[in-house]
Formats: sequence, structure tokens, C-alpha cells
Amino acid sequence: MADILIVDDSPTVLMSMEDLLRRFGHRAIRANSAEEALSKVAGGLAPKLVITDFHMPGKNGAELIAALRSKGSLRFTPMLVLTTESQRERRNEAKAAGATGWLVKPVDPKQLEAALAQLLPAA
Amino acid sequence: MGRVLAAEHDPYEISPASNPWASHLPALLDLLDGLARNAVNDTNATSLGFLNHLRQIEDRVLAANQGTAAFLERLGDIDKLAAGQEQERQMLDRALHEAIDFGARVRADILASHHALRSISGAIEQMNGELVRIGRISKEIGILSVNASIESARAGDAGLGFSVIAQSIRGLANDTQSITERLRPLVHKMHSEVQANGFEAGRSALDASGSKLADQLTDQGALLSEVAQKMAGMSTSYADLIDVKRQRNAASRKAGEQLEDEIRSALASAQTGDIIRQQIELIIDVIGQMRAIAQTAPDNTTVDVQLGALMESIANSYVMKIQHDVHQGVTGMAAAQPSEDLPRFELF
Repeated sequence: MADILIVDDSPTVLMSMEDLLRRFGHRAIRANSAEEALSKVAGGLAPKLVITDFHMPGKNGAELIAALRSKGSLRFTPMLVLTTESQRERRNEAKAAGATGWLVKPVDPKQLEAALAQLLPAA
Repeated sequence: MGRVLAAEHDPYEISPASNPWASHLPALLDLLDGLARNAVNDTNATSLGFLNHLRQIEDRVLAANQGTAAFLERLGDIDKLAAGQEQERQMLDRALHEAIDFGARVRADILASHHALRSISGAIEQMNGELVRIGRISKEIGILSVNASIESARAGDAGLGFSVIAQSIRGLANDTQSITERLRPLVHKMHSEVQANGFEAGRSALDASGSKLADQLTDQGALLSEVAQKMAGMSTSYADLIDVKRQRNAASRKAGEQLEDEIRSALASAQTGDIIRQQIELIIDVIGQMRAIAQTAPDNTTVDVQLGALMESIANSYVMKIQHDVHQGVTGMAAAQPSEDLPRFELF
């Protein structure tokens, strides 16, 4: 069981992802914005994985990843970007910011499970 | 879903050709139209997909409930049968114990009778032997009395008294011999009768006991047969129960897995709503950029350049099929490839 920080401004996506992660045996910590995610990390949260939406009010996903990478505790933490099929250009932007990979929304449960198995092999 | 844009179809009626809005705005609006259509289609697809998943979940829950009800009904029958089987088993247990006790009593009686008869027979044989000895002794006494008479005659007058005694002794010996002779056939007859009739009576008693035992065993055999039939029925029912249970377990496990998949798919479908929201936000973003160009571009040349750049940005960003088709229809240029070719998960 690993703590996974899930960041999205959509309550639907947060609820859906939290449920999927719970089914795969993990605990989801929700943040509805990049700012809230950064605040939680500043408060001592050290997730084993970060999954963030790209398109959010305020800081977008790439900016959040860049900010989290600057934190010493999360320098090597895997971070995935949630994108839609129409945001291919954004993936490159996220990659440049330090993202580990991306998942296309709607997230396929089997692919999420495969991603978790690769990124959290010991969890 | 892709629209074919004919040259004569221009609902916005913007001209003349020197105005860059006239060459770009219809295409931009068509692209926006495509985006909106995508949003609508996605909305419909999401709603239908969600309803379909929920319907399948409902079907599986109903099927599971029906299977469970049938299983419980079957389980009730098995309980009744098991209770009856337990009663039969207790009856059988009692009957078997009665048979064992009866057999033990019969065996003990037979053994006691044989023992008594053997003892009587031995006593009679011993009595016969004693009679033979008594006969032999009485003969010897007879001989002795004769010898005593001869010796008393030689003694003359002095032996007269002794001669009388010798004669009396011979008479007693003869009487004893006579009684012994009469007793021997009686004893022999007793021995023969004990040997023959005594053991015969023992056999008869054994036969009577055996008959009674056989009757009881016949009754208990019938009972055992009935119990065996019920046990066979019970075994079949238990086998059926195990089979039903195995089938129910397999069906429940499969239904559970399918239900879980459906729930996950339903949850994933819920994310599509957020995709639609982002698409609409992109439409708003494009409209905002168009408004900014209209408000800030100093001349038509700048408008032309900025609108062209905006179109290329849209073409490169939106890779959905309908926009791909629309883009080609409007510009004649190849847009980015449709999304089917893109992986849905990738690690950099």
C-alpha cells in the first residue's frame, strides 16, 4: 500500500481515481489544485507517486511537476500527467517539466494497474 | 461525422477577399463547430456508456440474487433430508446394538448348556467306571468267601463259626454283584441319552435361538436396506449440493469479477465528463484568442498571420477524428494523426 497524491480540479476525476487506486490497494490523497498539492507537500506529505491533471486553473500540471521536482524529498518520486487525447503537445511540455509518464483520460483501469506495477513494484 | 465544406456553403457571408477574416473565420468557426460536435458526441457516448454499464451491473446483481435464492431453496431441502437421515441413522444404531446384545445372550446360553451337558456326561461316565470297580471287588470278595469256607472246613469244629461268616460274606458279595449288574445298563442308558438327547436338545435350543436371531437379522436387514437407500439418496443430494455450490461459487466469482470490471469501466466513463469540460474550455480559449486578434492586430496582414498560427495550433493540438477531417476539408493540409494510433499510457 502506497500513498499516492492525485491532483485534479475535477471532483469526478478525483473520486474516480481515488476509487480505482483504493481497489488496487493504495491510499489516495486528493488535491483539487496544484497549489493545494504543494501545500500538502510543504506540510510533510511524501507520496510514493504523484498523478496530476495537466489542465487546471492556476498552476497547470507541468508547472506543478516542476515545482515538486525542486523539492528535495520528491526529486526522484515518479509523477504521471493525466491528459486528454487532444493534448498531445502538452505531454511534451510535461515531459520537459520532469514528468515520468502520462496517462490518457479516461484512465483505463488495466493500464493504471500496469502503470502502478511499473512505478511501485514493491508496494 | 466529418463535414465536407463546399465553397458555396458559407453561412457567415463575410467578404471581400481582401479581408483576412473572410478567408479564415469560416474555417475557424467550422473547427469550433467540430469541437462542439465532439463535446456533444462525447456527452452522448458517455451517457450511453454509463447507462449501459449500470444496466449490466443491475443485470448481474439480479442474476446473482436469483442464483442465491435458488441456492438457498435447494439448501433448505438438503437440511430436511439431512434431518431425516439422522433419524434413520439413530434407528439403525439402536437396531444394531439390540442385535449385538441378543447375539451375545444366545451365545452365552448355548455355551452354558454345552458346559452343563458335558459335566453331566462326565459324571455318568465316572459313575459307570465306579460300578465296574464295585462289580470286580464283589467278585473278589465272593472268591475270598469261598476260600474262607474251605479254610474253615479244614479247621474242623473250631472253624464252624467262621464258615457261617464266610457264607454270609459270599451272599453279600453276590447281592452286590447283582445290584451292580442291574445298575450298569441303567447308567449306560443314562449316558447314551445324555449324549444323544442332551446335545440334541442343545442343538434344538440353538436352532430356536438361531431362528429368532435370523428373524431379527432379517428385520434389521430390511431396515439396513432402507437406510442404505436413504443414504444413497443422501449421497446423491450431497453430490448435487456440492455441484450446485461449486457452480454457484464459480458463477459468483465470475459475476463478481464482471461486476468489478463494470464498476471500474463506469468510474472511468465518469472521467469523460471532465474531458468534455476541457474541450469546451479549449473552445472558449480559441474564441478568446480570436477576440484578442480582432481587438489588437494593427492591420490585416497581422490578423492573417495570427489567425493562420492559431489554426495551425488547433490542428496540431486537436487530434480527434472529426477535427482531423474538418481541418483537411478546410485547409487541405494534413492535420495531426487521429488518436487511435496513440498509446494511452507511456513512461517517458
